[in-house]
Amino acid sequence: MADWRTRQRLSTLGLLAALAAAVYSVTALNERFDARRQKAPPETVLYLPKGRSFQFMCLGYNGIAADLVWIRSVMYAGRQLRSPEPQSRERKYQWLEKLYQVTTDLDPHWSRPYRAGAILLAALPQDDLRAVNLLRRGMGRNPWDWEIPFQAAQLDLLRGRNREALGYLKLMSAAWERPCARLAAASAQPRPAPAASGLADAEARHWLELMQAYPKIVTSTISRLEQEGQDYASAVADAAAGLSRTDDQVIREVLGRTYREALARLVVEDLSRWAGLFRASKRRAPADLRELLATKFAKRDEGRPATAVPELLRLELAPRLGPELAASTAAHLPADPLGMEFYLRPDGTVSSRGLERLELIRLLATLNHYLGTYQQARGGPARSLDDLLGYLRWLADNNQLGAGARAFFKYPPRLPPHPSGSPEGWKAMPIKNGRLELPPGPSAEQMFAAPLKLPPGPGEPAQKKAGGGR
Amino acid sequence: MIARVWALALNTFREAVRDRVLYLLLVVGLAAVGFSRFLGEISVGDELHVIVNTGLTAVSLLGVMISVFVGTGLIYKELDKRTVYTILSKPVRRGEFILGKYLGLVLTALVCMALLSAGFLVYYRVLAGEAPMPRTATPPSGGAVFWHQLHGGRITGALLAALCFSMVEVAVIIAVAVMFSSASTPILSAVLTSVVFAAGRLSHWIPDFMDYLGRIRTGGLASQFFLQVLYYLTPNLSMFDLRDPAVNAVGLPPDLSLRILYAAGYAAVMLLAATLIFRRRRF
Repeated sequence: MADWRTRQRLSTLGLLAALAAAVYSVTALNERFDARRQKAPPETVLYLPKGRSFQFMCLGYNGIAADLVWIRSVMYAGRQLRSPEPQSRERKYQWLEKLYQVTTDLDPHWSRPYRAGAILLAALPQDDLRAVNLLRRGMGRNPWDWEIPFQAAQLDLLRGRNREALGYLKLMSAAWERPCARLAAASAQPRPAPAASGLADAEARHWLELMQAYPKIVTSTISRLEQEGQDYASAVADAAAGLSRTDDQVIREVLGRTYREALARLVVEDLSRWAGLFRASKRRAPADLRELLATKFAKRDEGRPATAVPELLRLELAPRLGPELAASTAAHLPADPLGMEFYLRPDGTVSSRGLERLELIRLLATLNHYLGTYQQARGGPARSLDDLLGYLRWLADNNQLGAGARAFFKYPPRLPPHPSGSPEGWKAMPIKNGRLELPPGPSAEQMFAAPLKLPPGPGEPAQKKAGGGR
Repeated sequence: MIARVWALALNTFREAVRDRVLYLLLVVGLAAVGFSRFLGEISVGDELHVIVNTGLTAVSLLGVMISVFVGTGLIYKELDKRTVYTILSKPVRRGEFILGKYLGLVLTALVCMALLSAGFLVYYRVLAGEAPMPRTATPPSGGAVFWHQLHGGRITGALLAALCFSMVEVAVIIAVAVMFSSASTPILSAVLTSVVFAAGRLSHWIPDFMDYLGRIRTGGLASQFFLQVLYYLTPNLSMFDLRDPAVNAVGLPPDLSLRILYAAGYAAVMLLAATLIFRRRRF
């Protein structure tokens, strides 16, 4: 009897020990997995099927599927934007393009993902190549949609690629002439957007009138571009107006980037003009930017006293940005809106180190893309940029060069000018492991986070106007 | 004959609307339409696009679910409860019985879909895309607020056409469900109807697939023949999907009447097949 009881107790104890061990091991494993999850959250976008496969899976309910993937992309962009961990710029937004591809494959006639996707691709990972590819895909699928080439033209205008912008604007005029464009405009299905996006009635009416006047605006813009060149002042004013209309963090970030870049280009343009005036009046180039900034200019026919360059800049910017933002921009000189500085080039023109670095980052993204293509095709990395150009020339001669590469490298393929303007610029950049490496300096994210007063949103208190940065 | 068929259809309708599943489906559909507003808000400026897509999808899925859940048990229930003896002992032909049942269920589905469509259109027109009131010196009156709220989405002909063609699609699926219901058990009928629905929604890919097989030179004559037969056997339901013109304003296709004719022809074939099967059944 006692033996039986002892056996019972022992077996109960054994079961309890096994239970405790099991609970401990499960808890320990769980904690371990939790720690892993926190370190590297599983990327669900990785498992998103391709657009064509998705079309099969959703049994023709493509529209709602496209909406859900689009919303997913908005959330992804927002989350990545706020993510604090230091990731490389390319990897940080690596799934953005795929999300837009799937959305547009599911609903190829939905115009917004092409336009908004291109804006985000160009603004967040600074990937102009993919942004333009997305827009071109949209243009191919919707030749009647004039808003897609308009977006492409805006992007090119902002980057100073006037010739490409002109092409898109002409395409936009042609699209407007198609009967489908008139149908889309008349049906007003996508048109109630101004009212929907929370604009006041008067503003919405103005917006709709503006859209109806687009053909005229395009015609005048084309002629202005053909005659004069760039219009960064309008880009700055548009971005400032957009910023003052929204409190949304993602939209403000995107518009803020456009604002900074357009402002930097506008100031470069103005300072270069005054450098020209300096040369004309003193018959020599200024020694450096500080000499130019200290110089006072006066127009003979105006009774105004001679005014220094920062004050002239403030007066020019004030009508577009408001007195406070104009004063702040002028007071920051020679610092540029990208956290670096304006400087005088040896050829006497003014440039911005921030803009040059930003352009270099974009060019490297595109060149590294083609270097990757080279490595895949040739089975090994390119040793120099001449290798890459040789390969591209071979592709072009055999009619295998894609439209994107042809637009970027032109024909016969050649490297775009180095942003510094120096002919030795590319030669000073060696290829390591099949990739061009960015010289040391701030990243695009850091440049866009540099202190700068931005126009406040509608919900922002007036005192916060003076707050810097993002 | 018409009076007998109509009497059967009305009775089927009365019986079907007593089914609580219908109300549950309707409530789920309305909840989905209501929820679309929240989805739209995070779509960055394309709220109306999301609301229209959700509304059209909800209306279409409601019809499909009614077809599958109610349609597939339609004939079987009459046989199971032996009520078919009472009906067929009257001067009613078996073909009339099938047609009456079909029309009754189509009426049920159309009423439910019309209710959901009305809810969706009111929501879309009145509440969706609500703009803030313009600032005025005096507070706006209640009438002015209501009038201002009618600034939501614009109801276009393409949107109404898309809703109507969802109903046409459901009429075709119900014909398929009735055909299977006259031959087998509800569960098997539900499975087969769902398969035909899925195949019908994807059948417009079959010619592309055949072209692809031809290009890569695989698949013999047998597979080509099988795909050809499958293409003609399954209903081409993509014909009734007018979501793209309704949402993206790309223009309605010009052959809408031909599409309705196709739906009528396919439903007629299914009902004739159901009648043939039902005439041979012994019970």
